[in-house]
Amino acid sequence: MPTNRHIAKAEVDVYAGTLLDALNNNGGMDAVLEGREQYHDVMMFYISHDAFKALFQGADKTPDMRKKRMEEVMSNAHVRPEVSTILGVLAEKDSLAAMPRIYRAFNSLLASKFNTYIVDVTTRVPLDDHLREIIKNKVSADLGGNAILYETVDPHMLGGIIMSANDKRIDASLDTMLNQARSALKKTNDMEVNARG
Amino acid sequence: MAEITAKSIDESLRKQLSDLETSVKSQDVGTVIQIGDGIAIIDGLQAAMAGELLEFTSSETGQKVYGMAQNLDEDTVGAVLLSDVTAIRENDTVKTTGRLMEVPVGPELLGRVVDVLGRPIDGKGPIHTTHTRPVEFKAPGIIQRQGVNQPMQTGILAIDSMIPIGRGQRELIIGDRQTGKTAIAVDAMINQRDNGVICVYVAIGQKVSTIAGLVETLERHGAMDHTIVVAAPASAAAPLQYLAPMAGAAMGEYFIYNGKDGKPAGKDNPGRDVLITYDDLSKQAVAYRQMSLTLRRPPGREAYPGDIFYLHSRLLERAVKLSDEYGGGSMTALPIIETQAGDIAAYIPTNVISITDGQIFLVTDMFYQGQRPAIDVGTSVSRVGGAAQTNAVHKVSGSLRLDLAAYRELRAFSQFGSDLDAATQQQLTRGERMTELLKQGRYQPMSFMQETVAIYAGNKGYLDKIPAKDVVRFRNELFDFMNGSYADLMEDIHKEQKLTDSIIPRLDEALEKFSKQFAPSSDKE
Amino acid sequence: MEHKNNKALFGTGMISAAISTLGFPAFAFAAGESSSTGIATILPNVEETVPMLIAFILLWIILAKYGWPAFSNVIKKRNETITNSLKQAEESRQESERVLAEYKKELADARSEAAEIVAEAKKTGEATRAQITAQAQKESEEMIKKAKAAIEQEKRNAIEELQGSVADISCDVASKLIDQDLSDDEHRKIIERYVKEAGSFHAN
Repeated sequence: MPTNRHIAKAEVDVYAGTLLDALNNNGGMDAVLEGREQYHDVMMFYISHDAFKALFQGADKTPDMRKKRMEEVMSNAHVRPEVSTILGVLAEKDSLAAMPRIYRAFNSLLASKFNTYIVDVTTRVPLDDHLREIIKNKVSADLGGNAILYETVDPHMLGGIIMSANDKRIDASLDTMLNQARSALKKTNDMEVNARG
Repeated sequence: MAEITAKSIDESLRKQLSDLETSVKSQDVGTVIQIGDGIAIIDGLQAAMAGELLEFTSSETGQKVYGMAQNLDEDTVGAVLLSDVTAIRENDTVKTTGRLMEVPVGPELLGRVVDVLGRPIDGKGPIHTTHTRPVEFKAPGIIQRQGVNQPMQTGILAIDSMIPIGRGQRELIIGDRQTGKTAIAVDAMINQRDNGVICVYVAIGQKVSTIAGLVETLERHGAMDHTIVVAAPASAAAPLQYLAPMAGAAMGEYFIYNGKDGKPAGKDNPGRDVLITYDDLSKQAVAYRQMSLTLRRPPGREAYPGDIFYLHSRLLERAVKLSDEYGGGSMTALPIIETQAGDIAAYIPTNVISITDGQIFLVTDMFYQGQRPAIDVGTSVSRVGGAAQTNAVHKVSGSLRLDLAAYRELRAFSQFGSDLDAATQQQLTRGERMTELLKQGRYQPMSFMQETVAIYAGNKGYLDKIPAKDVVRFRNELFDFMNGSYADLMEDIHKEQKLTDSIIPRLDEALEKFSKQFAPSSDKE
Repeated sequence: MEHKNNKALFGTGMISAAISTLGFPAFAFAAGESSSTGIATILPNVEETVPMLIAFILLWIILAKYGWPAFSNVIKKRNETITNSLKQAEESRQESERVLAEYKKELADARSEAAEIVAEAKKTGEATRAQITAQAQKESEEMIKKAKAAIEQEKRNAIEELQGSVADISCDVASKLIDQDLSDDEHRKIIERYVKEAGSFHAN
C-alpha cells in the first residue's frame, strides 16, 4: 500500500468499485449481496486466523505464489469468481491488510451509486413480508435510500431484533434488554435504606 | 437500622424497574480484529474520540469490558482494555459510549480503597456516588489561581523547617528504594488528621500486601477517615497503572471544586484542601511505556514514548491553589520518584524534577546511619513554600539550612585534624545537636508549635549542654513538659502563629525551667 | 586597749627578769662571805657594792642602748603575729558563719525547687494522663462507631445480595418463559414493536 493517504484511498476505491461493478454486471443485486457476504467471511477469517495470514506473509513468498495460493483457496471455498479475482490481486500486491477498508468503501459505494443500503438483520424467527416492509420503510426513512435486507436467523437468540446498517447498530434483542433490566435491578438505592433506617 | 424485609427489597426493585430505560438507540459498532497485551485493534468506530470510553462485549460470556480509545488510525482504533483482558476475543463487538473516561467521585469515597475505575476493593460494600469527573481534566488557568500562601504542615520537623511545603505546591519526593519515601508521604497524611485536609493516596505498581499494610497503618492512626486510596497494584493491567494518577487527581479535584455541601465552590462556598500522593510516578512511566510500545508508538529516550514529559506535566499541573473567587481550594501534590543508585540524572527523574516546585531528596547512606528521615538538606529545596511557611517556624529556622550546610563542611574538615579553636568546636557541637534534633520517628508528627519550640531551644544553645544522644529524648520530654505545664503558652503560639515579644520571655523561662529538671543520661558507655 | 595593756605588762616583766639576772652574782658573793662574819652577811659591802653598782649601771646602759630595742622588736613582732592570728581567726569564723547561712538558704531553695519540679512533673503527668484517657475514650468511641458502620454495611450487603438474586431469578424466569412460550407470531409482533420504537440509524 502506498504511504500517501489520498492515493491509498483512491486505490481502495478502485478495488471496491471494480468488485461492485463486476458483481452487479454478472448477476445484479443478488450477486452483489452474495459477493459481499463471501467477501466479508473471507475478511473475518483472514483477520482472525494467523495461520491463514501466514500463507501470504514472509519474504520467501513471490507475488505469483501468493496470488495462486489465494485463488486456489477461494475456488475450493466456492467463492464467486469476481471476489476471488479481487482477492487474488490483493494477495499479489501484498495488500490484504486493506480488506476492511475495501469492505467499507464497497458499502459506501453501494449507498452512493445505487442509493442502496444493506441492512443486516438478525432475528430468532424468520421475517415475514410484513416485517420486511416495516424494516425497509424505517431504513428508507432514516437514511433516505433503498434498503436491502440481509437476514440471519439465530435460534440461540431469545427474541427481538438486531439491525445494522451504515456502520450503526440497533440492538433491540430481548437478550440485551433483559441484561439491561438485570443490571438496573441489581443497583441498590442507598438513600432508601438510609431513609428507613 | 434498616430491616431486611421482603417489602423493602420489593420497593427497591420496583423503583429501579420504573427507572429502566427501554428505548433502543442506534450505536456505533466496531469489531475487534486483533487483541493481545491488553491492547485491542478495532475495525470501524469511525466516530470514536481520543480517550473515549469503549464498551466491549464478550461473545462468550456476555460480559461487558471497558476500554479506552488511544490510537485513532484511518480505519482502525487502537484501544487499551481496562479490566478483564482475557474475556475479549477477536470479532467481539465494541460500542462507543459517547463519554470520555470518567470515575465516580464524592465524599462517599472517603475512607475507602478503590481501584482505578472507582470500584471498591476493600470489602466494605458498594459505593454509591452521585457525581463523576473526567479522568483527563484540563488544569485551571492563570485567572483561577493564586499564589501558594498557606502552609501544608507535614509534621516532619526537617521538612516544615527547611523545605516548607505550601498548599497547592508540587513537591517531589525522590530517592532510592528503601529510603523512606512513602513514610514521608504517610506521615504527612497522618498529620492532616484534624485539620480538614482531604488526602488521596495513589498506589501505582505496588504489592497488594504493601497497600494493605499502608491502609492498616492509616486506619490505626485515624487518618483513613479523610483519605481515599486509589490502588493500581502490580497485578493491574498497564493501562490501569497509567490511569491511576489521573483517576486519583479526578477524585481529589471533586473536593477542591466543590464545597462541603457538594455544590460548586465559589466565593461563599469555600473549596476544600487536598493532599495527593502519587506513589510512584516512575512505575506509572514504565506502565505507560509498555502501553505505548504495545500500541506501536515510536519509542524515544530510554524507550519512553515522546509524550512522557507531557504526561507528567499535565498531571502535576492539576495541582492548584484556586483564587478566593473560585473557593480558594487547593490540591497539593507529592509525586514520588524512585531512582536507581541515586541517579537523579535519569530521564524520568530529571523530567519530574523540572516540573515540580522542589524536591525532597532521600539518601541511602543517611538512612543507614540512623539519620531518619534521611533527607539530604543540601540538595532538597522548596521553591515556593517559603512564602507559605508559618511565621514562627520561619523565624526560628531562618538560618538552619545554612548552618547545617556549614556544619557538614566543617565536619568533613575536622576529621583530618584535632586542633580546633573554641568557636569551631562550638559550631561542631551545635551542628551535631541540630542534626540530632531533626531525627524523628515514624507516625510522630509534630505541630508547628512543637517545631518552633524545638528549633528555638536548639538555637538558644540548650542542647549544647547535653550529650548528643540525649537530644531526641530532651526534645520529646520537652514537648510533654510544654503540653503539661505551659499549655497556655503553646496555645498562644498557636493563636499568634509567630513569636511575639510577649511570648519569647515566657518561652525562655519555660526552657530554663525544663533544662534544669532534665536529667542527662550518665556517660557510661 | 587590751592590746596596749598587754604590751605594758610584757615590758615590766622583762625589766624584773633583767634585774634578777644581774642580782645573781651578788647573791653568790654574799653566800660565800656569810660564813666569816655574822652581821656583815646582811650588810652591803661597800667595796663590792660600788663596782657592782657601776657594772650594773654600765650593763644597764649597754642593755638599754642595744639590748632593749632588739628585745622590744621581737616582742612587738610577736605581738603583731598574735594579733594577726586572732584577727584571721575572727575573720574565718565570720566567713564560715556566712557560708553556713548561704548553704542553709540554698538548701531551702533546692527543697522548694525540688518541690516545684515534682509539682511540675505531676502537672505534666496529669496532663499526659488526661490526654491518654481522652485518646482512649476517643478511640473506643471510634471503634464502636466503626463496628456500627460495619454492621450497617453488612446489612446493606445482605440486602444488595438478596436484591441481586431476586433480579437474577426474575430475569432467568423471564427468559425461560420467552424462550419456551412465545410463538413465532408473537416473536414477530415483538420485533415489529421494537422496530417501530427504535431510534434512527442516522442519529448518534
